[in-house]
Amino acid sequence: MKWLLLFIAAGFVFSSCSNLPQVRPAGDLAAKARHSCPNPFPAGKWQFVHSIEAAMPGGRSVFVTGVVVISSVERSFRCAIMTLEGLAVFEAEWDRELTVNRAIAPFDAKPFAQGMVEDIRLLFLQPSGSPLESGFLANGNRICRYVESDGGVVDVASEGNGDWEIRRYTRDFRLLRTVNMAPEKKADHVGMPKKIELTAHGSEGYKLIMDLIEAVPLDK
Amino acid sequence: MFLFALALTASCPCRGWADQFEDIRKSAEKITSVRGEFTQTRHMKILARPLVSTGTFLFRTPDSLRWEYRSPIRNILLTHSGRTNRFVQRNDELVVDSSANLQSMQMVVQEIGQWLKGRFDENPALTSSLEPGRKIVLVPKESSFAALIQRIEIVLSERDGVIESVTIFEGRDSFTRIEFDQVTLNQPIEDSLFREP
Repeated sequence: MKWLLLFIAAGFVFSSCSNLPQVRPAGDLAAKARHSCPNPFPAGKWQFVHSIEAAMPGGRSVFVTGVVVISSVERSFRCAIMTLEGLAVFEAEWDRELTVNRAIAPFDAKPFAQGMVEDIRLLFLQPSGSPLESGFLANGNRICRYVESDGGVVDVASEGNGDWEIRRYTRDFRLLRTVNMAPEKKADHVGMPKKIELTAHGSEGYKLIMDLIEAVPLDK
Repeated sequence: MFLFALALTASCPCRGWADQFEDIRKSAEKITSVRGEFTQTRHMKILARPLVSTGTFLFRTPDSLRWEYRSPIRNILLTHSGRTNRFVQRNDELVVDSSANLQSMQMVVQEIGQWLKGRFDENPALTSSLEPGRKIVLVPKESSFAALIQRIEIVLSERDGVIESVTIFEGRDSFTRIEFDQVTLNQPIEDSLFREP
């Protein structure tokens, strides 16, 4: 039933949507497969540490350190935000539901925790299920389009220079997030995005500029 | 508050050789500056391996402070002539961190002055005790403070006026240890090191 609803939602999305970029279907069946989709997401279990600049409305910038331990198989993660001196101001875990273990003001608001979970999922977990549309954008970038269980849409595209772009829309096609990622070329974490910029759109918008400090594989 | 603890404890010119805070106070009166390197190791349950930061620490009486992380991300806290700023490396330049809570940093600097006088046991927010092994233990009295930091342990060096390490406990599995190295006392430190980079 869930898949039927998704299918209907997807049909509605792709038949009536004028705000989503048009996808030119790939010509061959292999190109439509999930494994050929742009995939900047980590596979397996990893620990990532980023320095994060959060550019807030009004021109203020907040600098913090972010830690994420994520499992692509379990689709779960634990995360922490620390001050530059190392004081943990927020710790939480996500495994189908959110558990906040530590939250110091101003990181103690519930919307903050929920928003952070959504952002981490967008950044580090490949959308579940098969893409409902795949092919190329007008600019030639490869793209796979996914529909989430709530009807929202996630586009994952790879650009000609090797960078990636992710866009998340509401079910009525309002753009919520844009993520740009540049791949890392260091030997110890090849392919992991070295720099990530997440833009949250809207009146309460913000921008996260994330630089990878450390990527540790935990499966080994 | 973390920085507060960090800076204060790191700059403490204690005579750890002392059995009483009064002896530490007397020893502190001889200190005019402290300079050293530090390695900070952050342990958390979430971390498969701890995060390690390194940097430099400068303090000059009465209230000039430079606490600089060189890696992994360069950032500098500066206090001089009553002004406090933090600068963070962004690409190839240092930019002012407007998020820093400067009011609390001013408070920190005032406290540093107290610590330089060896007054570990005079902060009403902390319970302090001297323990065997040249260790000073500080415990927050208020629950709101304890929610941030459970306790601080300072281990004094055998050398007069030098701190060996500071450990800040946030919880059972969460603590930060700062170990000091190459510490020099009472050497001249030029003004420029406390000014905007």
